[in-house]
Amino acid sequence: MTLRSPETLRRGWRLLVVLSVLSAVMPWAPSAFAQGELPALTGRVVDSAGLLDPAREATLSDRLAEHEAAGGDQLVVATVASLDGRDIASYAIELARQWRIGTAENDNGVLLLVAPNEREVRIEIGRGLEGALTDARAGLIIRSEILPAFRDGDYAAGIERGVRAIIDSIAGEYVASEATTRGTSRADSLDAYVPLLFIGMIGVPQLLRRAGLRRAANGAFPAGFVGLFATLASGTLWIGLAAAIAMFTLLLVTGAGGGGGGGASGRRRGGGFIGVPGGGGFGGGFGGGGGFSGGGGGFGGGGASGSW
Amino acid sequence: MRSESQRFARPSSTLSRRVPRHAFAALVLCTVLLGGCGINNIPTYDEATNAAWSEVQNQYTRRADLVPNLVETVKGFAAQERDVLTQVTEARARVSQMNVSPDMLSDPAAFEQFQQAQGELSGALSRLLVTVEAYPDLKSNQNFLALQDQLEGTENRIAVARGDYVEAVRRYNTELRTIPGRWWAAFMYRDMEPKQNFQADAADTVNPSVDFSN
Repeated sequence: MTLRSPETLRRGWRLLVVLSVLSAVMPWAPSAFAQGELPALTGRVVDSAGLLDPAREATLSDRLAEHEAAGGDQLVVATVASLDGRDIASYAIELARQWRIGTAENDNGVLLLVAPNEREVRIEIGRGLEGALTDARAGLIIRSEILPAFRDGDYAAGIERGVRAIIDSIAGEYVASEATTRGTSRADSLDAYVPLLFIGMIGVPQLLRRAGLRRAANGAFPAGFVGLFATLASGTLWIGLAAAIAMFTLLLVTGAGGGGGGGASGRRRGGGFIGVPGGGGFGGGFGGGGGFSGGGGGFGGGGASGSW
Repeated sequence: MRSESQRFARPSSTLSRRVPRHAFAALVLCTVLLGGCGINNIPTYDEATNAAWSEVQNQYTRRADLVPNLVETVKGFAAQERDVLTQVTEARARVSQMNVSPDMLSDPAAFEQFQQAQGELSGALSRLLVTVEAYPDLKSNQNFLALQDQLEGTENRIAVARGDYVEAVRRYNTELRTIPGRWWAAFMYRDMEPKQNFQADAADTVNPSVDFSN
């Protein structure tokens, strides 16, 4: 092997490091899945089939918001132009689960789904409301409040009456607490951030070294390592950040980072495994801002359907 | 006695000059994280499967509990349909007598038996509902309609619970078969076996859609 200059070798190793890091974190990269044909949760009333005029839609939306403020239950009305050949029960539960209506702690979500093309309607009830709004009750609401109006062609009235009846059934079941009324978007998984953390962990010491802050650089690497581990173990970014800063400060203060970088690599403890739970599903709690979004509620398939 | 830094300093050699220290550590980190991850997956997925199975059973029991009420209501209007009513009652009795435990999840024969018994009850219920079609008084009776809603709701929940169970089992079985789950299983979880999954039986695909619209 011909002798290469130290610079070339360094570059080579740097490239190798980057490639190996990238290949290691690839499994964690968030998979770009197609949203499918399910509509997006644009608000409390998602009127894809255009059954409601804007004024009534706004009134309805306000009423639903009012109810959520009082009880924390999330009611969503959705109309779809087509069920894409699927049966309404499976469509409704998939939609409700994707939108995660209702709070995670109470599972108090209700979805009213209208498919005028297939002439089917369904009320999908979250697990936490199955006692207040039983299947039988939902069926009764559909038959007595919603379907008569639909048969007359008055979709708006049918929906409004249905919503009123649903609210009457579930009112008072849950009392909103401070946390539930904020409507924060739930569980942005940490998966997207792991590659960034890795790259940061390698890159930040490099940058510091280039800037001439040799001691800081030597302290930054173990700090980054500790921070990454803490993030993965705890599932939240802030704990990792705090751990990294703590480690960094500790190293700087005790001066371990100085003198030929004995720090990270010199004192490598006999590994053992770090039992980090595998790539999937870190629930990081990042608060979402603005807009309406589901609170992470669960659905078990309860509810009733009707057709006209 | 050498000083701290001397004892731990890496001997200066061509190797150390060519291999930047943090690159080495990064490689080690990647290997460790890749290898160390997944050690807890198997028991986690196993528990998830058990939970999903409990939910399935929960819903099946709920359905069985609806049957006596349903039979009584139908008898009030269509007592002459003795055969169908008896079939439903007997199918329900068989289902209630079955002993189910999480162990049977790995036992194909027991699982098959469970599925068959539930399938028979499904079939009997379908036949009953078809028979009811001929009795307009019964069809429009509020009590019956409420029971009908509950039954449909329960059937839907069963379907959803089964779907969730299938997904949980898929994760678990996949983990047992793929690397590194395989290794962990061989090393630490020798007694964990793949679990059974629901087969689509003929009774499921025949769904009489009873239309109650006037």
